[in-house]
Amino acid sequence: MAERYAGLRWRLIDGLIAAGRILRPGRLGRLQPYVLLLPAILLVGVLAVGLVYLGWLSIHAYDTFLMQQGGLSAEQYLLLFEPPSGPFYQKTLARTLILSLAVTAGAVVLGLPLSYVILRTPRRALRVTLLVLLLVPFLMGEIVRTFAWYLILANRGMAGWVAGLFGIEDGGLLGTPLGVFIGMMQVSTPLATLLIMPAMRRIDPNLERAAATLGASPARIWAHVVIPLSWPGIVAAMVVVLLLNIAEYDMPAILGLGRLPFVANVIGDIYRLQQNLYLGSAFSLLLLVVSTLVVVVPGLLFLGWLRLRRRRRSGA
Amino acid sequence: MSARPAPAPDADGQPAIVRLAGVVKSYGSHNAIDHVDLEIRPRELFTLLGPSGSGKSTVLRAIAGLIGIDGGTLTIEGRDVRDVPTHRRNIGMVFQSLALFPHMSVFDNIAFPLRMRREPQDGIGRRVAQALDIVRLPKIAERRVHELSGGQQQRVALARALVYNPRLLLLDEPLGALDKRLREEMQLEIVRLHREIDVTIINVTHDQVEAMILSDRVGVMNDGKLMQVGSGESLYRRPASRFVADFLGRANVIDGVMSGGPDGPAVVTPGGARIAVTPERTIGEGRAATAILRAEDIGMALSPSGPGGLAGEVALRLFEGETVYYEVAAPGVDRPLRLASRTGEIPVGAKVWLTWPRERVWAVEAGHG
Repeated sequence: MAERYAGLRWRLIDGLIAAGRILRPGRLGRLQPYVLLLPAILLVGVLAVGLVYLGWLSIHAYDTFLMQQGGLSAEQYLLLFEPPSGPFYQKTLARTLILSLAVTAGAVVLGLPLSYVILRTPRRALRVTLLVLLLVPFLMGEIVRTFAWYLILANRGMAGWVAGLFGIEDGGLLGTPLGVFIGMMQVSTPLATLLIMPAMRRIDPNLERAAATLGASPARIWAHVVIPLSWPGIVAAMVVVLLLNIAEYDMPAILGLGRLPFVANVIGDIYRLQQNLYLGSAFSLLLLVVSTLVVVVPGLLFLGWLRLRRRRRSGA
Repeated sequence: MSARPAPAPDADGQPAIVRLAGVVKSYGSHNAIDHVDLEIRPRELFTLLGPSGSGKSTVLRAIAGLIGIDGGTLTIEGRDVRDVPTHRRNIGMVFQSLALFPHMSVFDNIAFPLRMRREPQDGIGRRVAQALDIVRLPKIAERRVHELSGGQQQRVALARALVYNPRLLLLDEPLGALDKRLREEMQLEIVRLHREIDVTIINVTHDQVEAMILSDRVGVMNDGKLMQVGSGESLYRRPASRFVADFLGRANVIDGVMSGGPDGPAVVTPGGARIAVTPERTIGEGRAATAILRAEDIGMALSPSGPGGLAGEVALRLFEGETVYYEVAAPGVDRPLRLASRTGEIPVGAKVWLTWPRERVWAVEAGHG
């Protein structure tokens, strides 16, 4: 019995070796890199096709009563920008951007010290424990997490109870921007922390010691050594957290009690309730363009500023 | 900078710039610094020497305030610095890893301590240029740190630690990672700097040659304890303990019992060999003692020449260049005697006669480390 399995195992390994020979570097010549890229190209290709389809839908008129596609038209985009429906969509977009930016800023501000504390914890067991605790929010289902916050933030939950201690009636945070902010912070903060950590880990602790001997107070060590050397991580955290938050759905839907929809919620409603693929496509593309701009434009400005500063320094 | 209180004079009436009294630093049950008393004099180049893990770097870090101490007192320029954080101690320090800021140019690295002290902008450029001049590195201010060679980085680290004229410069094995030639060059550089500028230097190293070349005084550390302090030469010639004798240079440490007799004092091994030692320092007869016989003090001949000495047989001969290294097995001595010969004509297996001038052979009482 065992021998038969052993034989099978050897045959399996022989097969893998044979397969490896086919993929051996050089076998496919100059085509090899492209062949290895194929799966990635396929994946991106599917997404690109979908995107083109969305674009195609968004530039057509649509009769919502007859549920019929019309000719080429800018009608969907006019709906997004012009009264009477335009202000609602724009307000939704503004709310999405402002709350996402606030959460991103908050997550990075909290993530920096968190990441530092975890990395500089001398005892390994404690450090690993802290890391695992950091991962706990990701281990919970998003819906479970959101409803947990629902209970905490409700009028008759913890938030309402605490507000009641100060004599405030109906002090729950459900349906308020602060409530949505808190809910989104819970995932964003550990995410930002995890993204900052690799950059911060590369900082030699002796740099901080050296800065101290050179006369830098702890606050100035942070300002002049820790934060500048963590920049790659901070930028990564800002981009990833911002993009994930702009696409947030559950938190505004549940904690916002439907009063504070994000773009994703409205797009969902357009698709499911209005069954209007055309307007939904237009709003989706608008969100894509806006979120790209929000990330790319400040990024370019920052790079330009860095280059300018370096040139000015070397010119001096 | 802030006015300094007058430093308190030490026992000899000479003011100490750094004073450690009964300093203890413990990690769990282990004392990394074990009741160290030490006074560093102004303008001195002092070296803490010891094997790795002996606590020498820990002492340096305690002086810098990078670690706290658990007992005793530590004063810098007469001031108890227990509650003074590192950034207010006004010391310069060069780390083994150099710890240059990788995100800054050479100029910004050296300007960093000046900016932390809020020096006026126009003075910074001038003082950075001066500091680069002192370490003989002009015209590299705009380079990035990673564009420099190892030796240049060393000099930049020195310039950064000196640009604000600290009274005290701490060197935490900054030469440890350099190759031999560069290390020797930097050692001379440190001696030159120490001569040219008004600064007290405390250096940490495990390299005994470096310690003896550089220092006015050397403190030898082992297992958290300061074993002996003195000039390199006095430590070498007159070690206070077996450990110091063994750590510095190539010595034969031979345990036995002190005995007198008509031929003068000698350490007699359990095997009956008599090692004649100097009469200069007397250890009571009959007490356990260790004779310290330096390799270079032993003469070797094929026939006995005068009284004293030891018969033996050559066990090992290694050509080392300037000298030839021999190990000679002598009856009554546990370990083969190590010695250096200039000529090295005697082959392995030869019966030889070992002699030494007795005034060069020091003895320490056993049980002192």
